[in-house]
Amino acid sequence: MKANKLARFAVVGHPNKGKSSIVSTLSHNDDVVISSRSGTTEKAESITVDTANGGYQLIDTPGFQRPVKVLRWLHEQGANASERAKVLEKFVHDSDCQKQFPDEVELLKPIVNGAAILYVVDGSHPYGAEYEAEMEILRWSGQPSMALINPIESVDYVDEWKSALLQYFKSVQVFNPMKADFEKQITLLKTFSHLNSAWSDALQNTIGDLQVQRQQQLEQSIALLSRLVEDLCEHRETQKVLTPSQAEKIKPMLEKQYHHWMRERETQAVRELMAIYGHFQSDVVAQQIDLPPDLFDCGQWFIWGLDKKQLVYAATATGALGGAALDAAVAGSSFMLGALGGGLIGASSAWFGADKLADLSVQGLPVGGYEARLGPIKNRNFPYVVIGRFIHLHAQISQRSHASRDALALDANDFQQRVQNLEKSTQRELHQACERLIKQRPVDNLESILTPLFN
Amino acid sequence: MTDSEITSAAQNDISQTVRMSPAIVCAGMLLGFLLSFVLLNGDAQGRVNLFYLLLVFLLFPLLGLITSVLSMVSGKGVNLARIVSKLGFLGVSRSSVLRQLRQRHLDKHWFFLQSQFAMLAYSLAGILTLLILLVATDINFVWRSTILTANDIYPWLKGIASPWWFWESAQPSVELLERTQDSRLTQLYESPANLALWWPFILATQIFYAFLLRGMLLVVSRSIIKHRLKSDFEQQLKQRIQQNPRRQPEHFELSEVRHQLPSTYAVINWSALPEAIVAQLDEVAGQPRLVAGPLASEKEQTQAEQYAEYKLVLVKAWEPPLGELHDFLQHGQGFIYPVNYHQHTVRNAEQKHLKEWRRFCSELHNWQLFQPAAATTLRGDDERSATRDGEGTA
Repeated sequence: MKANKLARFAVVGHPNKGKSSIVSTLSHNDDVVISSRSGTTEKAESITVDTANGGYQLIDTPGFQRPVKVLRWLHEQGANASERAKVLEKFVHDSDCQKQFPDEVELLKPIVNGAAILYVVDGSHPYGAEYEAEMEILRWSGQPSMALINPIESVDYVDEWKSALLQYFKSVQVFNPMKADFEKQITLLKTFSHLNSAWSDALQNTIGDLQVQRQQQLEQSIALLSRLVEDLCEHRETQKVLTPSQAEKIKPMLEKQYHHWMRERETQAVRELMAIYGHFQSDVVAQQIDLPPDLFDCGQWFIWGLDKKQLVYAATATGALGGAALDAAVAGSSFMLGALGGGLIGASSAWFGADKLADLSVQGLPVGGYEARLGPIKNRNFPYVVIGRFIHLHAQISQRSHASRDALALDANDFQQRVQNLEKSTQRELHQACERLIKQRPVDNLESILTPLFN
Repeated sequence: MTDSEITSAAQNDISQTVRMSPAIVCAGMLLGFLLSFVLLNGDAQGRVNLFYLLLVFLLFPLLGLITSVLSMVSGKGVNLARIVSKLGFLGVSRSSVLRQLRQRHLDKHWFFLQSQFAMLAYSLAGILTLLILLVATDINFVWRSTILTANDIYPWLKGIASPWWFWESAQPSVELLERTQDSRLTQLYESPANLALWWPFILATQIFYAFLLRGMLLVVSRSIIKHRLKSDFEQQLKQRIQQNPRRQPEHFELSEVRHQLPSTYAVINWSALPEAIVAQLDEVAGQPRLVAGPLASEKEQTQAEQYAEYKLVLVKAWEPPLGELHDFLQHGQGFIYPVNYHQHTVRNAEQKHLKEWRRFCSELHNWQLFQPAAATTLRGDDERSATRDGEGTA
């Protein structure tokens, strides 16, 4: 039942006009081969987007190679308008045509079998009359169709194309698969639902499912960040040594291991974040994850975390809260000195400890010898830095088109502004959570505390 | 350590959580030995109260089992796992594993599993102690009661023994109860050998209520943890990453670009470039023209194909070569000249477009790619960007 109603779209057009990119973007699948070389797609390849209550199929097809000759062959069959679809079917099944025009046979086969047509052109270069042969062939099929103008490099010739395409297609849309974010993709899917009324309900259900899926992706991203920030804040490197002086000697090695582990852990989280959004082919993880600035470049931390003023405010607020608990415990007989003192201690430790990283400690072991321990990190800004960097990456990855294979270009974002924009109570919760994290205390509702930062 | 090593190391740590913790098992075993030994030693005459044994080998294990299952199912009560995770002696790796378990809401399950291991060790120690003492000493099982008679107790014991109905000698009987009733004032036994007959019943009680039930819970809790770990979204993401390896960049053979043309050749405007654009090309001036291309007639096309001298085929630089052009180029020889223009003015062809034409020309025997010499200076900049693409040049 579901299969019968499955909307099918054959993405056709000239070679190298972004057909595979459109399939990749609309299927949220970056495994579709996109090549600068024309003729990469030699066989029609179906990609099914399967959702809980619907789905659709996109068929990536080879580009037209000999449209003029094919149209000539079709005309030679001497068919009238009512017979043209059958002639096209004959063309697809004719063994001579299969040998002479393999690309056209391959691209027309799904259309003959009932797929709707998505005809793709490049809006950054002038229209040419040579395109008319292939548009005419597609018109012979009588299938529902839509033209997509892909402004690959510019929008200079979009209008020119639009007026030409409207003579062959009822619906013409401008769609750049490399830049289309989720909302634009959904908008395009909504227009698809008008192509064939039989597919309308299924496509509407699919859109609903995709939006639910989007929410799940967001929730998983938050859970991922929650685990990452906890792991990074609690991590320690240890090494057994014979004497305390030996521990001092191996400190540089421990520091190296510690930093390596932290960086790799962050890289792993980014890779998983990309996997949540279905990106597996991008360079960002392999080469570009050395985010500017580096995770341990404390001098640049304020770009990613909180600035010094915000940090002092956060520490004061959480310190005062702890002191206020003391005041409450003694029923106010401390004259609120607890809150005042807690706030002052918090503020001063935030100010003076702003550049403090992880300490080395040496502990005696019950069975003899010592254990040198590096970490966990002491810097109050560290959890904010981790959160800030992750949120910035999330904003980029979640909006990244699946057709894009470029490495991510990463710049500092507005994390401090995001924190500033939170409700005061939410801000306080965040500061308290970060305070607990830096003290290696578990935060049960960390995910719900982090959620407002993603909105 | 690579990223994948860290990932797998972390996963290995978590997978180890379904294994028993030696410290917890040792604690359970030690407790089992001590308690069983003290209890089964009895008094000076080696008498052991049957009710006390049932308390330790039946009631305590059952109550413990029910409490822990209820706590697990309801999710309420003290999270002992969290307390355990804060204990200093656990070490860095164990603390890290417990943190990962907490992140996956499995820390309580882990503690539940370990408590099953501990109770299994406890009951195993109890069984071993019983067997050792049965061999090494005389144990006299008796029961005492002020108000209960053998007939009152029998149905309860019968109910307890129902799971091992097939084990005849481990079943209680009224006669045995009557023969083993004890009083601290009268110590006359018709047949003292009867006092040892309870051991199969006690052993079966231990095996079923302490060992087997805990064993079943252990299997269930292990499989729950394994299933939850497997269905954790991070684990599934890792699998998806493994299933989608990155593709290697493409490498193509590219032909060289020629900047010289022979003195005579025929010009073919294959892509139907506007005449205003063609007029701007120095290479066209004074040369004969032929007609071919998608918009040409069959006759024109044939004439162009049959032309034996050099041909200069003008094409739109941004359009990739199609099969129709490829078919045409099977005849004759000459040069392909990709032309770029914007708003009625000729421009240098872009490197990414030229690259496609160079790849196309590399597969043709009698055809070369032509670009005016002036265009190469600008292309030099683009060549550098081509190297970044990871594509080789001929």
